[in-house]
Amino acid sequence: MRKSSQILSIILILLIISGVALGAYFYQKNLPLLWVFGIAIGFVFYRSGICFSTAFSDIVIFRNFRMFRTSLILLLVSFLGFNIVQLYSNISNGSIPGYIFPVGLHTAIGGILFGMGMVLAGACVCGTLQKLSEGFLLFWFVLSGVVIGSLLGAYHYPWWEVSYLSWEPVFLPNIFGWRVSWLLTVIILVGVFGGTFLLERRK
Amino acid sequence: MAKERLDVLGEVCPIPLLMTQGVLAKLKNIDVLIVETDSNQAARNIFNWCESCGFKFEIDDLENGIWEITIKKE
Repeated sequence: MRKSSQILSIILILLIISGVALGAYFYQKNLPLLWVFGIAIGFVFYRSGICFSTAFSDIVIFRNFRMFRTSLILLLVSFLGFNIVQLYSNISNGSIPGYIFPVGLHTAIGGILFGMGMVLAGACVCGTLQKLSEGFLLFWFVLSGVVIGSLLGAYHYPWWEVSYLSWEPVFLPNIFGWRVSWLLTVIILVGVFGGTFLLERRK
Repeated sequence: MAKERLDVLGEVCPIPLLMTQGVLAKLKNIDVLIVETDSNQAARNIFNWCESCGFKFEIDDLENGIWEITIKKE
């Protein structure tokens, strides 16, 4: 890679990032933190090449569980992080942060549709942003599909929630208590992680 | 030494690796396959697959964001 051609763009990008952070600070004091977090997560995603669509398509096409295991680690890390946030906020005021929605048949239908879509498009939402930033023009098309689909989905969601069987939101700590639900989730995730090695060996 | 080129520019995973596997399976008499790709994820997929198969490979930066992978079947 030609490093000399990149120095100017790196300086420019750093200037834009700090400029936006400064502007955001005057608007609201904790916004720069969120902005820097977002940039950092984007950078990690881009450099690590995490791709959820490959995680699932590689299992079927190549019998390769590498990316699937990566996404399990990601799930475990985000679970632990959210758990800390939820635990502390639960003590202070009782409402639980995070997306806790009713599950039902519509969840399964939506999951299958989204899965087929992301494998055909070649990337999930975060993968689309990664590949967009790498310069794949095709993914502007995919991103516009994501935006249109999300808008339609959000607009039409209440119908699905009412028309299809859905259960009340499940929040495990309310059923089993914090310790048991914590252990149960970690055991299940680690179990699936270990199970992929067995599946991989049985080619 | 029989050589073959494969152009997968513009294709996203899993197509580049599938096509690489397909060409190597179909043309059994070639020793060297040169794959040209502009997806770093696809390049990484091809490395991993070559490693698991025991093929030797080399990588060349043609331009910013375009890689040429030379796979040697031995």
